Amino acid sequence: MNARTPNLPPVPDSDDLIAAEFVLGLLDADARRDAQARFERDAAFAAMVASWEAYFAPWLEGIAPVDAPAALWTRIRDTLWAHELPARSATADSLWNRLSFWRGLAGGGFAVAAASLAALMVVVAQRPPSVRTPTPVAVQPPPVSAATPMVVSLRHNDGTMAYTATVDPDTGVITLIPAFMPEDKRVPELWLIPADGVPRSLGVVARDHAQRLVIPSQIRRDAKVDTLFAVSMEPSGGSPTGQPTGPVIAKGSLIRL
Amino acid sequence: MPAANDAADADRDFLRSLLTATADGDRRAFETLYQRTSAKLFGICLRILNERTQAEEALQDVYLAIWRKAGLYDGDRASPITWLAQIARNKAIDHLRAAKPERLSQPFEFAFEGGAEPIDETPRAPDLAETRDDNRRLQVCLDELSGEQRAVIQTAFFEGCTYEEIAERSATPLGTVKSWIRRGLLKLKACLQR
Repeated sequence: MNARTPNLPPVPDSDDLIAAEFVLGLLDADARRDAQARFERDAAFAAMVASWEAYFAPWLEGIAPVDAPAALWTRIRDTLWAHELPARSATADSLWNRLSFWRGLAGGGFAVAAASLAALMVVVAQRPPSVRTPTPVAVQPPPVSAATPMVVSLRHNDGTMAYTATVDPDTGVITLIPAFMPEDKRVPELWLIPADGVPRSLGVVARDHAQRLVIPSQIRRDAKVDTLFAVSMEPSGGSPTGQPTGPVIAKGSLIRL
Repeated sequence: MPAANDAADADRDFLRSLLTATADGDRRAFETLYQRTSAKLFGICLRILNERTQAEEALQDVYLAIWRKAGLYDGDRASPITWLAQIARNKAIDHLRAAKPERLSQPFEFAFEGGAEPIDETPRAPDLAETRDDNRRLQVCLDELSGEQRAVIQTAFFEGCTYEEIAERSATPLGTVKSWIRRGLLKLKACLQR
């Protein structure tokens, strides 16, 4: 545009232009926040936003649908309502419980797993907030259940750790922490393989930061001792078939601590 | 195509009733609404964020917002799917702003090619058929803009680029980009209101 357009005099601010810029997404984070606040309290401005949205609405029509991962509904439902789950013991949330959990882990035969988990937990705790997901609507922290935690170490074929994960069998919440994942232009996808041997996708997972997943409720009861978890490398967006299509690069069985 | 219109009307009415029930706290209706609309809204999040994990997080926020805001839906303003699609697009852009842009290194090439961003050639969903006339009007008015203006406005819409990002990626002074796009927007609006 620089070659074809001479220097243009600036077009002065107007509410209507700011509304259009807000709708298009042209505003930077600060200006966007200001516009959002105005949208919520200024009816005239909100009407301008609505008419720009209506102008551009036909474009939304052209965007192709893409199936969301099956686990996502469970995550949404659990965020909204998991705190209503019954059978939480009164002491479930106590620090003591968590301490004894970690002490049990370290004192058991899983010192390596515990050390890497603990080290990574520190990293998780130190990750700055708001970089990835400011989720102001997530009012309820995921519940801590009284059940004995389970862990799985997903190892590469040469024995190095790819991921470690804790699994809460009651809520199906998995905290997945990457250890070593080589660079690859494909993406890792996590699978739960129940007794029937048919892998169930738990979704595409991050390779560079901890994340929390929820096992879909229909297969949650399959997450028990010795259940196999595996990671395969899939094309961007995850397996197109619902079954692993790329190489399985890491696997491990669920154990109870 | 009366049959298609009937189907579109039925679909719209169904989504509307699901939204009304959701506003009343009906979880089953909310789940059905999710099943009916999540692929469309995920497509929108993915288009804007271009990264699956982020799109999943955005989609989660979208439905949490829908659960809270279903009561605000105004059937006189927009069809249910358009309203939902706008929430999805907004949340996706919020996520984009919260993450650091990694796209600055990708140059804008359209500035000199003058080609418009192609719209996906996917079959139109029946529940959006009502917007066909609006679509034609939008296209006619876009045709009055220069190719570059049209392309940059479309790219901003589909990628949620800021002025700064467009300036950087096209190696053009911010002020020039801003006044150039604003002229395009004013011209577009004048045409759409005719």
